[in-house]
Amino acid sequence: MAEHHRRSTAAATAALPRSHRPARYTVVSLPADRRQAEPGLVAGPFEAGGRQVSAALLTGVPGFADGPFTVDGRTAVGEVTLHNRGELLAALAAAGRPAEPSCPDGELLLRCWLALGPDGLRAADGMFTLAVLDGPDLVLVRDHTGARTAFHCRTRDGGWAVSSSLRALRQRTDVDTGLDLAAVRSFLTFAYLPGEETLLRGVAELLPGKVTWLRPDGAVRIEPYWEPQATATEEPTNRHFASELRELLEQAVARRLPAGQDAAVLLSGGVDSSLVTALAARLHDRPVRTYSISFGHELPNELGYSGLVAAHCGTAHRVLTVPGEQVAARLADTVALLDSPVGDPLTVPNLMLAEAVAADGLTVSLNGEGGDPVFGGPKNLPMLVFELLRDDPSEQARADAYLHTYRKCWEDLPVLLTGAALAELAGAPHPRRHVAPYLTDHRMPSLLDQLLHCNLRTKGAHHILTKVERLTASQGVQGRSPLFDRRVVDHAFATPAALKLRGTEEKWILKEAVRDLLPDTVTYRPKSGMRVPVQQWLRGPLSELAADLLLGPTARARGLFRPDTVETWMRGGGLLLPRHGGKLWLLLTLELWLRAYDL
Amino acid sequence: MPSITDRLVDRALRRAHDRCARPGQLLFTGRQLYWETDRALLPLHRGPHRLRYTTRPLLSPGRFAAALARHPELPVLPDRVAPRPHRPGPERDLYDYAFPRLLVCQDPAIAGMLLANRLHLEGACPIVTPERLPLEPELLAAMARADGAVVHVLHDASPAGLELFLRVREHAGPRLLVRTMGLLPRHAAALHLAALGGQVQCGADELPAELPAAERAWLAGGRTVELAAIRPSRLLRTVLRTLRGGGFAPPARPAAPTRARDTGFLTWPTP
Repeated sequence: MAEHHRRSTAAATAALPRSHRPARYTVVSLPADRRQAEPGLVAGPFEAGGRQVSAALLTGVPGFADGPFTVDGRTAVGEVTLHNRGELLAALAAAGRPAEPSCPDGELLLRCWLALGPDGLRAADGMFTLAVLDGPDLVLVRDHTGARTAFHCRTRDGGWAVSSSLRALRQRTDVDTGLDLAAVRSFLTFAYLPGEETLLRGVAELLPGKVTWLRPDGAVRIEPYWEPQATATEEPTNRHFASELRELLEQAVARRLPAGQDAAVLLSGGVDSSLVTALAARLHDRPVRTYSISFGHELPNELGYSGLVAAHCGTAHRVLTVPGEQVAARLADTVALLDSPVGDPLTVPNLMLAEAVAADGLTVSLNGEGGDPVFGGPKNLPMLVFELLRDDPSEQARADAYLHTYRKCWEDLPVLLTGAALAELAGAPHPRRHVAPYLTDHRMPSLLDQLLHCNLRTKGAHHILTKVERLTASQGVQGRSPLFDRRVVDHAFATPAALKLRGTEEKWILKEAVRDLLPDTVTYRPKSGMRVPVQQWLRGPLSELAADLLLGPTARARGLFRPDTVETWMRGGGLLLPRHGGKLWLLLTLELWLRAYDL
Repeated sequence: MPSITDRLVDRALRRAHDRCARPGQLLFTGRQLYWETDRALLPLHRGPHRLRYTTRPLLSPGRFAAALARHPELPVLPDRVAPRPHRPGPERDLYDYAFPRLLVCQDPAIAGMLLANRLHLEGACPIVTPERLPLEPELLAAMARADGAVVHVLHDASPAGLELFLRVREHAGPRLLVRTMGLLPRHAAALHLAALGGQVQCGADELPAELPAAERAWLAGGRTVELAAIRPSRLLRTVLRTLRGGGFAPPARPAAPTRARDTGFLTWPTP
């Protein structure tokens, strides 16, 4: 099987990113009498239905935007990287609408949509957002799992503005934005923003696997083109599920390998990144280079595992040491790269890994992201316990419990937020709305699949993948996540839930599928996650920064957080369990982000 | 005009309420507040740690109830709770996985307090009361599916508490490990908790033989210490630490705790 893939690598793998000027894009649909010049205009302005529509590339902004592409009278720009061009070209030819084999990925995706409709989007395997000028309408497409993203908002004069850069919308003079307090609450609850919400009032993020129509009258229509389906049957054997999954994993990795170039893999030493490393080493016809992180020899790390995997797979291995001083020095700039903040202490290390990959002359890095939300990683047990003890049958009860399992600042809001902020939030929509639809979706027959679905659609699309994309793109690198491949995801949801979480063994079917590739000590090691010394950083190199930022005049003037609570947390008090570091990290990230966006 | 005594109790009540809620706005029962108020009135628990002793409550339950009634703004969880109905969602896979731990809590009010503070989510551990015994076969099977699954029994330092432990151990069968994280007289003495006297007496030979004779005699004499007598933050931290499988203090005197541990008894952290 491996040999087959190696032979077909040249034909099947994604092409290298074409030489391009780093860019994001903007499209607008404005009242026809507007005569404001759009910077970077590449298409239009066209008059349609009393509107003036146009598309622009914001060159110089890190990103992979390309265009314009015009097919059947419709013009589009987008950030599109497809991993299965051959399949898509064949599908178009079979439909009697062949495309030029050398056409750009964005044009190919546009053709697929125009010729095949939602089937064409479903068939596309890749990372993309596409913005189509469709008469006076703007049509926006985000890929299946959310590897790339974009945002939209109304303009002051009743038009629409869309961009793959949130900052571009923030900087528009015809858009009224300000801080959305409800989004602040969501961020403090989840450590990221789990749905359409952004921290800019009136600006929404695209949802993955969906097509969004923006109408001139202000109406928004969202239609899903792909959603994982739980279609498990008990008939096939465990071996059948594992071997099918293995085949899909090999395809997913092979498609994402860079043709004619060494491949980079970010290797934490966990089973997910290890299996991607092992498959890449087997399937690529060029060397594979692996990259790991250490926070210093005196702190716990997983270098033993990552070193073992690197040696086992024969990769060129490089360990980056990320001292707390570096984190302190680079945190502000790193947070500023994110369109929505994530309270993830690995942002600076992730950025430094992307820099290392870029410095080695590579443009594609693979990672093991996705194993947990797709195959049943940790954190499901508390929700099963909740269900075992559940005395409230309302749908709301499950969603509320889910908020608590995040263990961020949800419980602390009454003492963390100021009275004014709490009063303003009294009528705001509840954060449970982001998770409740998934946790009460009876099309998913099992609790576990509901939890995985929720995790895929919230954390996967709005935290993991967007963070990877923004940080890698800033270095001109494409971060690719084979475990989020939509066929792999489809297969995972078609697999009986008890094969994903088998007893207490998490991701059992995934481990079973790759058991021969890795040493058992790696495959069946207990899950530990990347242990980040946040508390040490906050007591040491980040203590001054944290105090200045969180207790300084700017934060006090903004009036979001109670200084007495922040001070208590900084002294190590006020909480039953020692989670001060993680909570303060959230506040610090938010404060830096707000400053970066001048809010 | 309240009497001086009432004013003293009121002040102690408010102070105790504040202490019980710390840190992090904990929720607690009226009974837990009673014991904390008693300590606020007469802080005998602050004696030297090297001395092992229990105290006697100074505050009468009636006077405490009257004080609490004067302060409806001080919220407490109920001391009497009805059995919780079990109303899971319609999904059928709840028992298809494994539960590696379970906590049986003797006092339904304390169980309610642990749940209200979401300890079951934090520790990923179901918390049930004796009313749910015998455990349903599906749950026992799901526990047996986890290697090394443990049933923890949280109980008072009382003959009834020890009896519950023995009953759970018998019910769980040989496939599950049953451990007590309940109070023993030595823990109550180490924590300087207040003991209730005049409870139902029993024969020392009716108590587990593994307990040292002095502790058996102490319990047989009709003395008990309630779980509610432990400050809420200490109780929550200790239970969570025990569920996660670590953080036990070494025994002060190896001989007796070792014998106790042979039967599943574990020590509480020394104060």
